[in-house]
Amino acid sequence: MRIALVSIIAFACILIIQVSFVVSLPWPLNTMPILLAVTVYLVQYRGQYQVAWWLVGYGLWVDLFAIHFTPADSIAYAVAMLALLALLRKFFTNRSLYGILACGLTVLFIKDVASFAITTCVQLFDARVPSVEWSVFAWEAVFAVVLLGVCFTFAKRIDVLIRSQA
Amino acid sequence: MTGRRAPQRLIVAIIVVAVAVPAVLFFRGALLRLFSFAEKPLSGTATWLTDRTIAYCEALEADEDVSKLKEERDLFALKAAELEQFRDENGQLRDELNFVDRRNVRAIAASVVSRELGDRSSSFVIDRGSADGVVPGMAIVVGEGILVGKVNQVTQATATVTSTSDPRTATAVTLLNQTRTLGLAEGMNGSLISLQYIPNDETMNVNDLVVTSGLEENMISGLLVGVVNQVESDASAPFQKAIVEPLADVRRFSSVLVIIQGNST
Repeated sequence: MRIALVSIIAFACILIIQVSFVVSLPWPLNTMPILLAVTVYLVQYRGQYQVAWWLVGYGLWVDLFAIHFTPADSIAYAVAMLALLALLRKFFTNRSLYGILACGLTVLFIKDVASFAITTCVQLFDARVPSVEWSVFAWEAVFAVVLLGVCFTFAKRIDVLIRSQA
Repeated sequence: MTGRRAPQRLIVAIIVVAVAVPAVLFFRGALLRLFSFAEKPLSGTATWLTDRTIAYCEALEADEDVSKLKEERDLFALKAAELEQFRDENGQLRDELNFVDRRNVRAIAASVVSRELGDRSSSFVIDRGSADGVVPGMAIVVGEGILVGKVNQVTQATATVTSTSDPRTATAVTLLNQTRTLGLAEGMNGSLISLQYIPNDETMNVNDLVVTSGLEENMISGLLVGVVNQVESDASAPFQKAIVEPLADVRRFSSVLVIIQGNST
């Protein structure tokens, strides 16, 4: 119960940072996928599988609050969560930096493909829906690499520091 | 996620989502209010950063625009200067043409190609020489017959002209007073002319005009030299002296006329 509560609070904090701070930054910094990067790091490196639900939660949140059009993000992030868990079980068992980067980029790619597919389908019925910007995907990938690198380097060092103090 | 518990967990998860979505929708307002405490400063900070970034980018673009406009301005200034020069030359050439027609003299136009202007000397080089019939002593005029100098040295293609205010230049002149006094105008250091050897009994006043007398070789009479600026007379001396101010400043002309032959008809 305590773990679930901590997880919900951490999710809320990262969600707030993502939807209020990051999206208000100038282009292309507003494409930073902080939540996705942190999720991949915690799931892949730390083995905290329940954190994968953050992706679904984020997708639902942005769709429910009409930040994006429904239900593209819910489905895309749900697909991303399933892809992340499947990839961890089948491919990226290695907890190295390259393993995290490869896993993160693959999850991001699958999320973007899902998002593109949903957007294209929705556009068939509603031409007002804006097309997917591929440059957004490219910048997301760049920032995902940077964020995962930062998470891997600093989080690991902080963890080592805390353990040595204990 | 593996094993027998996986389907069970999936069912639980679906139930949680099914409950959470309506709950979130129901408490939507309260959730937004709760989150807004943290979201407002974060969003404000990021918006400030974005605003600063955009302002900086716009300033860079504005700098580029200003640089382009400055370049265009410089280009226009150059063209305007060139146009102004052409207009001046046009005016000068019209005046010179009027003079040639009125005085019925034979003259050739020449361009000033280099200058030497200083306190001790004032001369310039024109692009006409002996091949064009220019010989030393010929009058160089501008506008409608204002003498600016005399040819001093000649090569085949160029001629060096000393201006009337050059100390090396002496010109036989007539004072346009009642008695038409004759005298010798010599250049002084600076840009003035000294009128020498005027007998004391001659009446000479400030603002009297000074013209060439024509009493020297290759120089026609009646060319304007200057205007009397100051008269210096000494009762004990046999001659009086005047300071004459030239009517034309040679620095302002790029083309001149060389009087080849006076009164050709």
